[in-house]
Amino acid sequence: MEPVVAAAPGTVLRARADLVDAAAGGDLHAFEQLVASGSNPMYRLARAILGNDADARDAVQEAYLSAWRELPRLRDHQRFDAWLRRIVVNECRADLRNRRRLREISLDVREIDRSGSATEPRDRVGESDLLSRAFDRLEGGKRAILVLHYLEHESVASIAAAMQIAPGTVKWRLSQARAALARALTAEGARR
Amino acid sequence: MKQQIPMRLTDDMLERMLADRAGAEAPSDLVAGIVDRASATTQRSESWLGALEHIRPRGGRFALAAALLALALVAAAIAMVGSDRTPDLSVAPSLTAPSQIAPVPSGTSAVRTSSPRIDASLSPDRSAPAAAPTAISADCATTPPVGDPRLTTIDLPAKAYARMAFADCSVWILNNQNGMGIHRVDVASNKVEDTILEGPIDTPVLDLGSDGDGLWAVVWTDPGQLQRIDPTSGDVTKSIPIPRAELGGAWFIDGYAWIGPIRGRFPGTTAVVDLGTGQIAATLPVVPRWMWRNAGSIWAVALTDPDDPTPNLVRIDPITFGVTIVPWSRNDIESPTMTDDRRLFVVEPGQILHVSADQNAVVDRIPLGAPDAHALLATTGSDVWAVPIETTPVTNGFGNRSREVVQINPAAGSIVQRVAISEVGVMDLRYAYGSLWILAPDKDYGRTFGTHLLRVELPAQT
Repeated sequence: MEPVVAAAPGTVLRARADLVDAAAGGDLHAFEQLVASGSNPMYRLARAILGNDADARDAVQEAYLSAWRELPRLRDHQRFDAWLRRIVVNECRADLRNRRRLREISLDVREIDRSGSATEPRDRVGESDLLSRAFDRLEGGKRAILVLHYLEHESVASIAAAMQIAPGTVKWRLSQARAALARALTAEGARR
Repeated sequence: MKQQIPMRLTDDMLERMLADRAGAEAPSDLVAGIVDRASATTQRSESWLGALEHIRPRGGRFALAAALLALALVAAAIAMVGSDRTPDLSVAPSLTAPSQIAPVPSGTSAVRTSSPRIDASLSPDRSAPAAAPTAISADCATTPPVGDPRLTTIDLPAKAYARMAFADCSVWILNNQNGMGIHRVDVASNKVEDTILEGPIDTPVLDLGSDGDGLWAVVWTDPGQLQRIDPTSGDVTKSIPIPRAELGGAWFIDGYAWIGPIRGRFPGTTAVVDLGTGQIAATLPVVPRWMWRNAGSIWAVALTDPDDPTPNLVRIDPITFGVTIVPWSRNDIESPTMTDDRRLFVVEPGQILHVSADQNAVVDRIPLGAPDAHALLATTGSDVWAVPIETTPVTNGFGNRSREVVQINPAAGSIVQRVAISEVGVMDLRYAYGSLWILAPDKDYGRTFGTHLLRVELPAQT
């Protein structure tokens, strides 16, 4: 068998590893290609957690910028995608924490402005919207683990890496998050 | 009175809701926005102290500090007793003048603006041209071992681990990190004999292949380029522009470059570029993940349907470029390799599958031990060899370790021989010149300290 025609197993994947290496060395072209090939799934992940375009866009932008800054210090370039996913999840959680603080402020404003115009007609809320609203009641960690499992279909090991928790606690956290969502769903249903 | 609507939370409902929330695609200007901001952002430099930041507090840093102290004591003890073992950090052989192989200082700038582009660094008038490769007999003959395979460990310059290609009776190793060059390992001497490309470069070489006589580099310029490199002089003898969007995985087979799209998915096609004329000879409606030549055909594991994310087995007529799809639809496979009698072997998590390429039927399953273990495969034409890879948790993620190379009897589907190795982070396994070649960076928590090329010379009868 001629060596020149031997299969190059995993070439596409390894080319990506090369790009990570090059980007870690300051190569902006390589980084651009990494962003171009990976921003869609990261955006979907952020949007599922945060629920709107603007916040998802900000979270993904900040995550990639953090990745660019810290890339020279990434110790295992083959773990770039998992590392980036973790940064995106962390950005989303930070955004939700900030949002909670902002909400406290805006609630104060609403107490003054009692026009009621902010309230949506609940009759129009469909089943998916209802579940989405219930999902919005969850804190960032619970949202993230549900998204990683039910949307991304990540393995326990991947979820553990993204959430920075031990693999053994992933299933427990997942069941906790789901139970919390079920409770939130009941509460939302009661509000209808 | 409000009516409470009972809703039972199901997986299906949850998945649908999350898919709705996730939306379809990112905004079209997201990439440009990120890159613009990155261009104005300085990267942090790597440092040992910085590495400590990645270690979780409460014990992790203390443990690392203790380990470093212990390491220092061991090193001091070795030095005192006069050991002549070369530390991994200084494995780089003296290829050229030290000033030319010194790595680029890290963290000095976000973008290396003063570095020459790859075209310049490959030009024949570089200041210290590498010596021409030593002449080797045409058949690259080395004396094969008798009985057991012969294992040789070849030290490579640190961080050289990107890609292997085979031409001119040499193994060529692409060292993409800091543009350290393409190193030539002489199959007769088992040493790095010269380097034909020296950095630093600011344009990465994405891939390296061979057409039998010359080397081909896939270069991420704009537009991208396929560059043919004369292995004896290191000169670029031909350059073929390729639109960046079409510059994905590349395979050099039968005088053509088979180039998949940049994202490795639809929308995209495979451009078949005639390496002689530089013209596109065909455009195939498939998105390949792997390609290889076997028994008169070109084969690929490729996406064939824009609406189906699972790849199929594809057979391509090398004359007419006609495509025949063998329905396959296995998503989580790696490292397909095919014997001369068309037995296809692929790796799935935890097992190697033997598949009849003509009938698309799984013939055998060879367990790899752990359910999440994987492997790299290569074939000599008649036999299949595998490097099983175990995934083990480390402080900041997961690491890979390989302990052996195993020979698989394709017909029986059983392991018939084991050759012990001990390597971390095996990157590639190839067969050429009667030997298995294993590219294995020494990694510790992801930092590459050195790279080995393992050569397993197989007895003549195999």
